[in-house]
Amino acid sequence: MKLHYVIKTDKLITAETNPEKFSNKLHQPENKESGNRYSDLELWQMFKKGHEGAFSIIYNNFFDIMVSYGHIFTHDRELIKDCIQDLFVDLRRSKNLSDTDSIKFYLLKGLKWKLAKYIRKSQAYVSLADKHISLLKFEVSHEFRLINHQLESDRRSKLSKIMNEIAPRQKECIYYFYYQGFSYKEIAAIMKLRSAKSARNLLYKAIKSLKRQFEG
Amino acid sequence: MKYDNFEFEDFLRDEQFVEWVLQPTEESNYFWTSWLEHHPEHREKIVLAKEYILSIKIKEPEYKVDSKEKDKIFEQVLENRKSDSHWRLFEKRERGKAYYSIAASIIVLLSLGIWYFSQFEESTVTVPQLVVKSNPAGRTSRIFLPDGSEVKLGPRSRIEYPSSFNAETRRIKLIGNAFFDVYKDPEKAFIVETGKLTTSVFGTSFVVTMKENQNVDVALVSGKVRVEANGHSMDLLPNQTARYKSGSGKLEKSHLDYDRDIAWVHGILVFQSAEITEVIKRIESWYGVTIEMEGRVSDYGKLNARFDNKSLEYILNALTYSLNIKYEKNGKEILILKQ
Repeated sequence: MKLHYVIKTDKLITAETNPEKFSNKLHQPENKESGNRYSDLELWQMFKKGHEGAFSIIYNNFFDIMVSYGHIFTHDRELIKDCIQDLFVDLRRSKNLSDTDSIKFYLLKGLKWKLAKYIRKSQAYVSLADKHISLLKFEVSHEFRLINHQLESDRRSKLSKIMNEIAPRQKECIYYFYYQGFSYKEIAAIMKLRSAKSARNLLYKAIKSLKRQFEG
Repeated sequence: MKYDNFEFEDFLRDEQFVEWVLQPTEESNYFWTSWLEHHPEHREKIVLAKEYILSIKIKEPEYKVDSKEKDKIFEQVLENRKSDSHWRLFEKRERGKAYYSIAASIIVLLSLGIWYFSQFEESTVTVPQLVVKSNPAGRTSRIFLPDGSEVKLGPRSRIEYPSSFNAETRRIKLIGNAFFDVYKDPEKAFIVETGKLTTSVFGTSFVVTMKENQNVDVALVSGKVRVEANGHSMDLLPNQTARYKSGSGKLEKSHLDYDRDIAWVHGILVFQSAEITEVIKRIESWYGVTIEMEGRVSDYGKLNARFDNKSLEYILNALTYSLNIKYEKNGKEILILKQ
């Protein structure tokens, strides 16, 4: 379990973060010899050069995240597995992959498009986000605690409820921003928005509607 | 500084702030701690924003992919093998489109009695270790085997295969018609058992079709195939067909005939001086209808025709001219009369 220093004021406040959540973020492998981690870009470039070790690291680090991500769009477990397999085969076959400094973003975007292709074809062109994001269920956790400051349980459950009721696009945006840690630029790309600014506006709307309902 | 007048919501929307909360680094820790030292009045807002952000989780699905499945997919990716998901789309399209190029394929054609299959209903049954797939008349389906080989299973046909193949062979049982595109694996023979005939290949494509008299045709376009029956075996070269005669139990070699052996895979229905009874049986199987006929076989002529992805109505109308018949259609039941 990792300890993160949160805020250093007159009194040191520490938080035990949820290790599962952070394992999504801290995915870079340790290079044991030098003690350094590869950056996403370095790892990706090794993969592009055909380094099987790099591929194995990427596969093992991101597989579970991809499965979990796939589940917000479909209940079809086999389809998710198939799309992940096909995505990796495509990436390995591709001769001119672009560089990326966020492998997770690259893979999730690829997976979403693969899933969208099949889901749309089989369900007469409904928008992935509108219909299927409803499978995304937020939970406001009680595991996370800061000293002297906790969301009380009724506020927590109220927030969970509201978060699951906002517009699907807003929900998806919240998911990327706060759960996957994507930048506005990345959100714009994965949600096919015009610009990072549109993503920012979408999130702003989401926060506003959450706030309105939370206080109302 | 931009953060000096930030409200709680502004922090929630700020990329740098959220990045620090989710993925703190030495630099961002340093930045935010020193900023807070100078702005202690923001402390409460920041703690709250951070808590909100870290509280957001998603409900994980109940069904996970276990590490065994994960490893299996990894191996398939290393072998450069795609999943069968793309076939799901093809299954939805109308049948009859030509999906494969024959040029690089071995086609093996087997024939056996169609009457045998009329009992099958459309179904998929999975018993432990054994997968059974069958089609009723009028339906063609696409199946991927555990090794990545593909099967196009014809109407009134059925295959059985284990949910995972053993270490030595890939053994499949077939009744009816099927096209096989076999994943190349020189270590593991791919064996199709059709009655008494077995066809062994090591990675290529072939079709299996069964006819009335339980004869079995094996036609090869390219590659190598070995057929065996009753202890006799025969190796085929491209463009050769082996015919197993059920009566004598013997194997004979002849030339491949595209119309006879392969056309059905492409949705092409071919009749070569066919008697009315054969015409009826093939139309019944192809379109999933029942046809009754008045009079005797000798009342009707023989049919030479080739229908490339045509509708049932088109074919029946064509028959009224070429065979001098009339027909009455009532749903899925058709009566054929002499004109």
